[in-house]
Amino acid sequence: MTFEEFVTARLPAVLRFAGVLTGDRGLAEDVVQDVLIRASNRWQDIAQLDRPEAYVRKMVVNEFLSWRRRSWRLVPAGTGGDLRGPPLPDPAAGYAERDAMAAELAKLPRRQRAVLVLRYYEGLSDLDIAAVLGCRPGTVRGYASRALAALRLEMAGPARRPVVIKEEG
Amino acid sequence: MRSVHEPPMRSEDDLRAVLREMERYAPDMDTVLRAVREGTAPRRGPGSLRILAPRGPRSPRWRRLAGVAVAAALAGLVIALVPGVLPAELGPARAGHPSPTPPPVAQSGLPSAASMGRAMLTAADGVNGDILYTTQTGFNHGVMVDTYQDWSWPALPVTGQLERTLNVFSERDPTSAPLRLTETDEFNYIVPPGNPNYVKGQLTVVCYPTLGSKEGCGYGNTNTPAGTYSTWDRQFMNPNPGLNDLLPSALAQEITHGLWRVTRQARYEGQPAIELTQTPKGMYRPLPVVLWVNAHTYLPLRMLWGPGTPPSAVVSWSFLRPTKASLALLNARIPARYPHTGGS
Repeated sequence: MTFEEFVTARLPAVLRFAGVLTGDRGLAEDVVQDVLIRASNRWQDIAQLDRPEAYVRKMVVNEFLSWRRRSWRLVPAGTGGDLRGPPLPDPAAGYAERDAMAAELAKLPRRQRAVLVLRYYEGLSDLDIAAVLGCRPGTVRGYASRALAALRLEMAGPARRPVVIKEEG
Repeated sequence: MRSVHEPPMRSEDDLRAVLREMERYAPDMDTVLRAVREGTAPRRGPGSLRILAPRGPRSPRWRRLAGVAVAAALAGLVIALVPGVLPAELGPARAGHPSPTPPPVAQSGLPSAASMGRAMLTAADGVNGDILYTTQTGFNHGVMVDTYQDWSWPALPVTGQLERTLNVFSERDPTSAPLRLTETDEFNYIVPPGNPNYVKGQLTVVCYPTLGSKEGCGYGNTNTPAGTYSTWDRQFMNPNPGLNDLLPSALAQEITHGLWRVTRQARYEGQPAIELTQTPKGMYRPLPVVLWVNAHTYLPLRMLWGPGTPPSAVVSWSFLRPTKASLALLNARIPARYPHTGGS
């Protein structure tokens, strides 16, 4: 797969992932731009990997985690007025609750937020998340449990294996 | 037993739904590809105002006219929030802010946003060479959960100038009432010409053993174990202070560009202030954000971000004269028993 083929086939998904991860279009843009520039310079090596896209996503996560924290709190992550989903029984309450949850997501430490996005958006196992973040699975579970507690999120059951909600590509 | 006033628990499906909705923050593909083809990703700090073009270097104009000592009072207020940092350690706050020509006042007794923005820009020019000290304090359900304290000097450096920064992060462990010092990052670098992605700089990280730093602290791709410090001399991402949206000049431009409206005259900590709220173009909408600007100096005082009392976050500003004592604040303090564990 050439870099151009990768861009054509996979970039939209990478962009969506970056948008969810950062919660900010401008930051996502910067992160992906940086990653793609570096990836294009090393594409011969990356293309040899089994899943180049997974590697690029890992680069996106690392870039996001290393982004300087200054003013991070001021990013209106996940709180935009366009955050409107399908109609709910009580629209006002539903919107407010989603806005509140998105705002609380934005306030999580980045690693915790990344773990949630990788687990609940990307559908990765804790083992895979640990590989992306370069840490132990136990560490991933620690991040996740703290983040879920901060969000007041009740686990559905004992099985913590996430449901894959999104097919790649 | 859960109180009836306690917010309801959320489910994993709720989280998935919110994350899916956040797909709309995906950047535009054409914009990204254009930048990649040019090989020059534009640098914008997180939280920077994206409708503004990157500001070029500016010459600080030192104007030391009489003003009011608001910054000192503000600094005292802010530091009182964070245990372990005494007001005396702040050094002298800037008492003599430039007092720009007051903006014309309409019949309502309030200046227009445009004239307010111009007055603020003039005021901001006068403090570009000061130490900018900001705090961003987060609250969760009314409880203070963390604070970022950022010092940077000069507030808006020019190309070739040494920029010194210190970021101190404190957070509250779920099990402890007070905030605890978690991480300190001192980063110094020469502001490069142009707007490169990376700059060479010297970094010192001090990582304190708290719950939040159990896995260590990080700045860029460095890692510092808790209870240690590390020093690095290498390439890091360009922090580009000119794009910090907490700079007074950035706020002034936001106001000039119609993102804020002048709402009313107010008093903040006993000082006359002008209150501004977001217009429909405001970047934080639909969250309510209120900004108070000093009515004498036209420098920002405080921003309340989000609904509720207290809100989600409170940002405060101080401007310190770059004296020997206040510049010492920009040095990371390394606890005596902390070993040096890494660096390059």
